[in-house]
Amino acid sequence: MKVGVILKHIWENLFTEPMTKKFPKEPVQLPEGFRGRVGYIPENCIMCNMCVLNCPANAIEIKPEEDGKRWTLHYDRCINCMICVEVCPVEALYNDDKEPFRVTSDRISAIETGKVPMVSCPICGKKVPRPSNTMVKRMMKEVTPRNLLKAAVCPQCKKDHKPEEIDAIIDKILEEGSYPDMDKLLGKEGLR
Amino acid sequence: MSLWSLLFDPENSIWVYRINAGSCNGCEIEITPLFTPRYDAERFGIKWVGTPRHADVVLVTGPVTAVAKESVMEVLSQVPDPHVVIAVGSCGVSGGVFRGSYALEGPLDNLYPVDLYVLGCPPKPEGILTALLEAKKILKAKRKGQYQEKPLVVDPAGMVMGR
Repeated sequence: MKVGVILKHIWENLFTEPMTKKFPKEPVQLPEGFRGRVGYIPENCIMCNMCVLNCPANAIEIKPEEDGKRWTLHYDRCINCMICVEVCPVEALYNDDKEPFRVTSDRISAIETGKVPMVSCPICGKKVPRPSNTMVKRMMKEVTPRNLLKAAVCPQCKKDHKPEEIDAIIDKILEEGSYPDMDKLLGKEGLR
Repeated sequence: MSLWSLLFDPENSIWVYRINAGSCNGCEIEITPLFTPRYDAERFGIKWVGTPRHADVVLVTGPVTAVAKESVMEVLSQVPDPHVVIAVGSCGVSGGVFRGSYALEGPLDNLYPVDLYVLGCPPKPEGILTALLEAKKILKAKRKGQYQEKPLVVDPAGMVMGR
């Protein structure tokens, strides 16, 4: 009996594929819930510093630049724990498993980076950070150029003007097309 | 690849030695399956050896702790030239979560020139395999004298310890 079982296995193994993964020829097979790299969407970011404060490896830094702030993640320190994705309140970070590993000869340039620019207030022209798409979606249900302009009004102008006045001014701006920072407000790829 | 180079080029059979410089064993757990049937690095002629004097490639895992520094430098000095040093894992690359600790003698590239970095905590075995295949090309260039060693760049942010 035992000999029969062994012979059966030998016969089967003659015709089955080896279990070795043919890695460089075939892509990596990833399990479900694999924690890869961290992706960043600057259009959603509100620069709240939550990811910087919660990162266990101090891999994330936010630096002020001229005309905006820059968010940078250093991959040489990142431990792929995805705590930043969990604490992000506006879905600006996500788990991107398209690049499961990285081999490099220059660790300094292994970074993920993005910039949130300053735009001018449509009423007084004062510089304010670009409003986040997620926040606009939560407050006004839809991301349109009109809603983005409304969100870009600075706090002082919101106090000084009535809502109807602000609506009228934004209508006028949209008709004339006279807003200077429209490209920055819509983002690089336009509205998502 | 010609038959001559397949038979006689020493790059087709690189021998690998591994140093643990204070690692948590996570990276070791990812290196070990490379030599098991699942990933089988021996189909590329990669072999694991037990002494640095036979090695072409050295895998270093872990941040170099103050205790481990002397041993690591002694072992690396015994590896014959030309050789390739690969830092594996976030700790080996930059110190990772231990960056800024009083017990560290800095990441490895502050002490010894590193050719390749494998990022991840821990990196997948496929990543380490990619680095080993890349090390073959670097070894070939080094044997021909064509390899240009990059000047050591020390991260200015890496020197600022703590928050």
